[in-house]
Amino acid sequence: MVPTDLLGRALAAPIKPSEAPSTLLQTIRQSQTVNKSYRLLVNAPGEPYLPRLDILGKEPAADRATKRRSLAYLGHFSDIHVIDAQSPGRLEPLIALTAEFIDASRPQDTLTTQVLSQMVSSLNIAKHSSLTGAPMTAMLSTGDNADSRNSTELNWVINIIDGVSVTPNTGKAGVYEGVQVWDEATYVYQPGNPNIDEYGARGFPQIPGMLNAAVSQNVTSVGCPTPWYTTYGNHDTLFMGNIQVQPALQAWAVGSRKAASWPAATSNMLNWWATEGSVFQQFVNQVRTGLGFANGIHDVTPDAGRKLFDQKEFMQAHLASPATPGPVGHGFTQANVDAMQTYWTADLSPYLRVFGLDTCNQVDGADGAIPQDQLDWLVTQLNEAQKANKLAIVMSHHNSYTMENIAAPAIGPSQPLIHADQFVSTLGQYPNMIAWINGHTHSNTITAHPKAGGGGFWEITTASCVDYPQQQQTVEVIDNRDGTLSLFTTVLDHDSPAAWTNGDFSQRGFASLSRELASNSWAFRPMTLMGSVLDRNCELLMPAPFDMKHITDAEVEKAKNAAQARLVAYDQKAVPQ
Amino acid sequence: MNVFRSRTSRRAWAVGALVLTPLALAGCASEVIGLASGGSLNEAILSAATVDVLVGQKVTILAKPVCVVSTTNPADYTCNGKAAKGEPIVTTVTDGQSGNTNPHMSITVGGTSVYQGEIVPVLNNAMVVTQ
Repeated sequence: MVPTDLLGRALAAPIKPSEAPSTLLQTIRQSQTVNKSYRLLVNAPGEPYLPRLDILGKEPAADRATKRRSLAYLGHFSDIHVIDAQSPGRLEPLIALTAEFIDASRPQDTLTTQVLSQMVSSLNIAKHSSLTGAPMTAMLSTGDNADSRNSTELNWVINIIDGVSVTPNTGKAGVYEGVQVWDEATYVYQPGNPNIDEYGARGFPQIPGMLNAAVSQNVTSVGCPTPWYTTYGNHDTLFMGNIQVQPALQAWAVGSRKAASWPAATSNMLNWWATEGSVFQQFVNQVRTGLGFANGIHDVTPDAGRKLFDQKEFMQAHLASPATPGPVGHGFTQANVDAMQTYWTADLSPYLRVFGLDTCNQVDGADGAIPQDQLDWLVTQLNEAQKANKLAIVMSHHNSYTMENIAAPAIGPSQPLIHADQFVSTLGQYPNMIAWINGHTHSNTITAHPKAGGGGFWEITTASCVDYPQQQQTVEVIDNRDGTLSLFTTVLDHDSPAAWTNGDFSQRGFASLSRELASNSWAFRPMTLMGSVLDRNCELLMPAPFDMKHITDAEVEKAKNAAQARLVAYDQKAVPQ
Repeated sequence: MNVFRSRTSRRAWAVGALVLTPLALAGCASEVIGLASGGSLNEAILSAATVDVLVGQKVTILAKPVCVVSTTNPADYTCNGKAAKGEPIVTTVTDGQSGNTNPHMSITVGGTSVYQGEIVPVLNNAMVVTQ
């Protein structure tokens, strides 16, 4: 409990914009090549806010900064992709088969917990707005928290965000067992021997001991300073974000054999379909003969924690997390579990309501869609919010470019699937719907959805923690008190040096190394994920959806004090566990 | 069901037609943005380049240019947006075919040319720090 006098002083103190470093002050960019085509990262000048006028349709009032008030300051995480790089349930060899499985392996796979922890650190540093000083109200996470539907991965994510330390190892203690040390895996970066494959030809560094050190590290976390909420992503739903989990894969994930070569991986996958029935048996037998089934499999230490979770277990894991930072369930409630309803709503303040959707297809394919029953629910909710003069934010994993999935459930109730155009059109019918925040494409992208006749909403897509640029962001809702709102998006780099120092195996060092490796991962075309300057630090203007006097200054002040009190309490206990 | 199902999704629009082919070593600048080695120009890259030019020339943008590739000729790209007073912003590319590591773009605002030249140097200026 925070002492009353301390809390009182904190609430009475004048609010000043934070001077914490953000990409407003400093960014990270690639330098010239240092070894063949390999580049290091360096600090670069910051990027000021740029206005986006696509929805307002005109230049804004020049004096709006003198009158504005902050209604909410939020963090936005997405596509965290914490990875258990040693799990047999990951089929890295598929990357050698086709670029369609490019996600199967990355050079920085063992460093994801370190990156997440340092991203949480950045969020803590940015917990007061650098624009208005407003305290952060909540963090919204839009899915792909775990990379491989692995229970241990999910626990690592929840623990790190909650401020609990983790050791990112499964299987044998202190020893990495995986493709990045196996000779036949000539499709991944091997830090002990990069010259085994193309990574060496491109100048990737030799870093002896990196893998064992990375998986053995006690990764601490300062914890999220605010309550946080989450939605599903396709990687939380489907194997490799694409394929429905089969019982045979469950057995492999917790078993003692891991595939190192693509024929073996492919055989593993074909084996699943064969166990489901005889439809594919003839095909499987023919292909196995050609592939050489027995080669390319290594023995590894099994680990029951690698169990692949299902929807119920995903929600239950969030319900099991502590009350602080909270909320318990992070959007999901016991009612969600009982009804198996994977979408939810929560009030972040008396005047701001958020809707967490599940756009993931449970059957097949990385793309998303909205089932009809979920859209019907959302429409009812948006109507209620509009009548109550509440601003609404929708959060989901998929974005408007990636919602064309048509795969329908093979069994059980089947709902029509609603795709992007209809979904956007539906959202646009509600003026109080000010923003749709999402992820999935691992890129910074801001898309305007103007309506004919005026108004509309902003779609804000943030990058990921796993692929370059490894950025997340904050979103602040500002009432300009002139009939317009501004949403300020501020991109965050994780709290680690731009340049990795050779031999720095600290937590921050590993996060820095991860970013550097990611920036050189040519197959991911990393620079295309940065977005343009109009997709990063921006002021997104729009007409106010209703007379903003309905939201009184007293309500705003009360909400702000509640958020500030939480941050004061957080600072009081902020010692890494 | 095809186990090698195409990934329609997560980054199809950003990655473009990526093909894994034997990769030639290059320290050239186009590596930075992946136009080398079998990669190709795409809408996201072109949009970013257009925006970089416009912002650099302090053009107030009313509607961010949206880029599309021609359905009949994959070398042709067009972007359309608006400047502050409603002037059309138009970017055209006619050599954006796959494998061309040095495409060119032409940008006009209200019919007046504001840029005509290579795309790669524009992006490198934004993405790479020369020390």
